[in-house]
Amino acid sequence: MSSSTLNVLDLKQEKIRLLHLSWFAFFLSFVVWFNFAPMLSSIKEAFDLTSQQVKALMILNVALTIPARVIVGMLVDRFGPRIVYSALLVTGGIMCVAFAFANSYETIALLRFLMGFIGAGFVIGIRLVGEWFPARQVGLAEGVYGGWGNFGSSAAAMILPSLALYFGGPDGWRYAIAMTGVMASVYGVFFYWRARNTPKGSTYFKPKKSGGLVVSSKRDLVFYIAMCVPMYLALATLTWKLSPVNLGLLNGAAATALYVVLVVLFIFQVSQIIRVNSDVLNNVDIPEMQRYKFKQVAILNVAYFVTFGSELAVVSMLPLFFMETFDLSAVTAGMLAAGFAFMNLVARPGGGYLSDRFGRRKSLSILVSGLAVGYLVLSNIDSTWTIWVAVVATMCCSFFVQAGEGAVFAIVPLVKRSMTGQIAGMTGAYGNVGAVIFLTVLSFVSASQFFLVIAACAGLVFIAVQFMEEPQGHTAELNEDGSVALIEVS
Amino acid sequence: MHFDGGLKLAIAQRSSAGQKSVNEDSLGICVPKDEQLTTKGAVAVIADGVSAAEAGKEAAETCVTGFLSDYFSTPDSWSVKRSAQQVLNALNRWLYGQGQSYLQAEKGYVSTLSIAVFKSQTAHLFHVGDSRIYRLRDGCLEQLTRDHAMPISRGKSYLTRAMGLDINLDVDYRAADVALADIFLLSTDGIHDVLNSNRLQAIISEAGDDLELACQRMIDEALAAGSDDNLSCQLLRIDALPLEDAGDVYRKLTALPFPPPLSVGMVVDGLVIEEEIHASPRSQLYKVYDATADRHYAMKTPSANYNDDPAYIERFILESWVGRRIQSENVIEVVDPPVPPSCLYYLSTFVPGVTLGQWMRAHPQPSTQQMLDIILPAAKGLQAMHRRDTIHQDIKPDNILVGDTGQVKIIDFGSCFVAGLAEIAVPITRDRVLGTAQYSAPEHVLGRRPGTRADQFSLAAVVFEMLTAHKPYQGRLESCTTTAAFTRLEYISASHYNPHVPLWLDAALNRALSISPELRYNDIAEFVHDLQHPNPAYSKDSFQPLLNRNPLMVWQGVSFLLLLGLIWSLAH
Repeated sequence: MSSSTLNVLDLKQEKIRLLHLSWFAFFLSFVVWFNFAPMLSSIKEAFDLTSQQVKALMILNVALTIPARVIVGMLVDRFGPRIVYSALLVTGGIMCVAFAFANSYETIALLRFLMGFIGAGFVIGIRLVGEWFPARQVGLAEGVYGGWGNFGSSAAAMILPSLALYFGGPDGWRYAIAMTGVMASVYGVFFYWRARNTPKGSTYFKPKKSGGLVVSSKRDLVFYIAMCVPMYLALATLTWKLSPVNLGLLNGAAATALYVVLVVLFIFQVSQIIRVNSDVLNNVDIPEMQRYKFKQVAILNVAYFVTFGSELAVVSMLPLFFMETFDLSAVTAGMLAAGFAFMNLVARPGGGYLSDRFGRRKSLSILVSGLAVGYLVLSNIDSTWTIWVAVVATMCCSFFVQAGEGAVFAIVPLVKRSMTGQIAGMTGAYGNVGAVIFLTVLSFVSASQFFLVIAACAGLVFIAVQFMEEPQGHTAELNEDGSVALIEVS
Repeated sequence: MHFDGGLKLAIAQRSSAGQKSVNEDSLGICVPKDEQLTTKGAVAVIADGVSAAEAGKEAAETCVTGFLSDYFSTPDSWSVKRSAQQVLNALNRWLYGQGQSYLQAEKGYVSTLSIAVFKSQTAHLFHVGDSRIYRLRDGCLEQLTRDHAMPISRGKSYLTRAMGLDINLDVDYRAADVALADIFLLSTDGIHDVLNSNRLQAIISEAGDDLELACQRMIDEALAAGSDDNLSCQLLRIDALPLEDAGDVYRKLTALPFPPPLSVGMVVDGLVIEEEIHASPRSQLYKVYDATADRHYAMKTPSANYNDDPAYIERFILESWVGRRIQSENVIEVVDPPVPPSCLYYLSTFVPGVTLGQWMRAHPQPSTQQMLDIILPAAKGLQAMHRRDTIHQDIKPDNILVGDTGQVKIIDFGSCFVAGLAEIAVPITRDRVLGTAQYSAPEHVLGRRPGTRADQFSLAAVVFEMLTAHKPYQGRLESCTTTAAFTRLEYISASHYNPHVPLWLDAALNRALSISPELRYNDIAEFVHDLQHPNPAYSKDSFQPLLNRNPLMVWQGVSFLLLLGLIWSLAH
């Protein structure tokens, strides 16, 4: 028997077992993805890196995730979530072990870049959970999946420094990181063994073709294409960062080649978008039922840009920031920095709940302004602060950040049901764009200015959110006495 | 229904005895006003009683009145072709039977017959004899039928095919597309023998919008040209085609909103939700109580996941449409809600019990008799569906309900293929249902048009699983997507898993589970018969190669030879 609540302890139910399997898969993918953050001081020492090089590592880690989401989405369409998730965990784990025992900055940079792929695991689980849970529970189930999975970065920050200390020696960090890789690989096999794509005996409908979002007017089409530009800009920024002009990790020819590839990819994507939207271009009338406003998607994108984007950026830099600001050991800094992602456990599902309960726009506005204030406070942290006050401040800020993420994903399915997958994919990609942009900013400015930039972005997003329309559905509503009354919504 | 209405026809017909004393022609047009216009279509019939026969007039009248009344009495789910075929067969047998009292059949109840059925965007033409059907499009009159007549001398011909002429009847069938402003002309030989198609076309064109006038002129001119037969003609002009407007269909589909998430205790249209029976990403099923009638129902509601998916909504609406049209004690009965529904759901009778899937977990090793007690009624239910030109397409243990008192019912029409509905075009892209991979027949996956033998395959897969607790083909059906992959599959016989399965039963399963539908039984009835009665064709040990009869001995022999070879090579 299912209801709108979810008993996560009822392991007799197959779908609950699947939920645990998938959030843990996501959790491990996050551990592997962010296992370098608490180790950065050791890595910096081991390879004798400049702080610019360290920041480049952070950006590289999140860059490939932007295109990877699209590729992983296509793979899931083709092969189903089960095999793709386990393949991602196994290969991610192997790359992680390779990273742990690499011996040059070039190698770790390349491996970090490739490991960005594992960050795309989110998409797979969302699809899997969607196949297993009925409409009423799926929001909550995806909240649990997303929230508990994201907690992985926090777990990495808490445990890995101690683990490195336990192994000891200058290579302790290597063993600690390698261990997460081994765990991910082993779990990948376990996941394949236990998980199933669909509930037993469920009827299979051929998935609809996906190429891009289908929009409702020519104006929206232009808007949509414009919204695709930042994803390429983020990757172009990274290329520029690595080019001879800046870090010099790439030579001139390679950088130019990358720019060309990006332009070609962009042209390809635009042609795909135009292909699926031929109806709009040919002025074919789109039925009322299929119409929606693209600005809703765009607003969710920028909201996720500032929430999830800033979370990824902060999670990458916070342990090092604490270490350097308060002159702490790696273990303590990791522990304290873990507080930021720790809030995920409750904040993300909580954000969804707030959004369901108190209105979509209002909740999102409050959460976004909250995180703006939060980052303003963080920008003032310096060595004069008492440590625990700083930790409480980061945790408060992170509550708003993650509740904001939850609120964004509570709205995503309401924009246009039949295109939820694509809208979620685009929104997720914007989260990664945010991470790349914010980390690039960090490589130019001080941590305090970095927090200020995020706060400023949040202010802009707050304005954008005010343009969002409260999503409505064509659904009957309930009277006070429990009988169903009809509200005609058009 | 969301695809109701839209088809508009302008009609006119005239008949005249001409120079003869009696009019042996008969004609009729029926354009239903209600839903039948969509499901069965509009019908025009013209018949020319053969004057050489003694009861030609009666034969023609019987054909027209009989067809018009019987055609509309066939099930809505039948295709036009099947409906017309059944009715024509019966009519022909009756006419032929009546004719037996005459010395020669051709002297008895003999008539030509031409029928045009306009359904959705197609005209289905049935034709026997020398009356004709023409289509006028863009100023060009095209004859769509071929005369079944043999000229024996100048101006004289002999009918080679006609109603009532023989016990077996071959009727020409043709589906012609219909476009806006098309004019269809049905005529008897009194008109088209003396007026050529150029003349006919000129008359229709000159009369313009006035079809009555055109009919009258055709008769007048034919008489003037010296026609010595009865003269009859019908004109039908397509003034509007259904579903030109996609927006209209969408509006109709969304006329009823989705119900909100329901929980125990809520009341919808006077029905109290008592329990949630099942919830999946595609739909929810509740047990509800109707206090006024003191009855329990099962209520199926659509999942909010699909509230903007027209293909899903159409499928959901059609589910109850299909259910209402199948009467069988082995198929779950869809019932009308006590009050007109305020949102999208449908009700069926509530049968306390478990699904076959649950039953199988409780009875891991059923006896053959227990299996038959469930499979025979299920097969009956399927046959009832097949008689209605409906293929279930998703037979699996979870879609067979085993009631607490032993009754067995087929549930869930969500994947049904209904021939009569497939003929109705809609401006939305319909979903392609693949059924459930473990049970669905290969033709589903390969994209061929599945027939009733696809259900036979699925039912056989269920029997296989009941007897052996294994899926057929080692459960590998799931991963096959190409013809090559299917042919590579190896069939492991049921007796391999369960030695108690008799050889003949095993062979029946093997045949029903053939990858190629042509190799299966013609009908599910034959399959279930072979499940109960040892088929002598299978019980005899047909010749089997040694490898099959005694694999152990073969491999022992091979090993022995290899051993000899080894010793020999070592010796050298």
